[in-house]
Amino acid sequence: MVSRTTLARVRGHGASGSGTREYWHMKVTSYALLPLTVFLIGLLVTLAGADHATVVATLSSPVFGLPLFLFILCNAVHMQVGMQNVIDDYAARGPWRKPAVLANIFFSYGASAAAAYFLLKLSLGQ
Amino acid sequence: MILADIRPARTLPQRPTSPHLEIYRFTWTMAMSIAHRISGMAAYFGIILLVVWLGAAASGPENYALVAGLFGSWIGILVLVLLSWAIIHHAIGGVRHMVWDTGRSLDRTSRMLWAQATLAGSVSLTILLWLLIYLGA
Repeated sequence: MVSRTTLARVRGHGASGSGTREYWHMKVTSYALLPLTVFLIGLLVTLAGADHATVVATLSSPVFGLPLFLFILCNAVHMQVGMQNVIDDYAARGPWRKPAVLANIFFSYGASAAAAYFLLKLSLGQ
Repeated sequence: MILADIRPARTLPQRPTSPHLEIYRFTWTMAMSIAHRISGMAAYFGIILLVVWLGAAASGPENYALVAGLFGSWIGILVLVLLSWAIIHHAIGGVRHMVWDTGRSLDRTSRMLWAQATLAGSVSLTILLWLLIYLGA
């Protein structure tokens, strides 16, 4: 006779090994990213073919720089959780799981940090 | 139960396996589910282009001109067209999931309509987007 609830027996045994936090983060960031992506595409269309001075002047304006900064932040979480989901589906077990999870975290937040750094560098002064 | 579990040592029990992709008939919803994942992964690596573009803009006019020229070359434009299609497709697919999350449009007719609209919408919006860029340039 074991006094464990059925919930305690199944908890932590899903493909991801944890609960619904990632799902929730995915939902929140997807709602944020929808208008931000429309903005980003609009911004890039406007800046297509523009010279360097125009690009720097545009991105230095908070009206364009701040939404782009927000996009980079929300996208960082969204891409990390999304690729984690792919890893959970195709490499749930085995020696490649942990390296894949690590590489995904490093790439997602590394690339996003680089994008944010360059945006701040060019908008807050060279 | 105990009888069914008798098997040679060090072998796994013969449990029924879940049917996988090749078992199912190909449908629109399946195709758009796969397309959502592939377009998401394309957008995932697309951030490299955003980093390169911002990095070039942050490091002066010469580097920016170089990268802008690279992005404006035929191979650059091809990559950007495909990337923009992936992002737009993934965004519309995301809206589809938002609608599903409210419990709506889960019946067969709505599912099919949404799946077909996702592809039609992403293709036509991508064409419209590049027409806009082409006319603006």
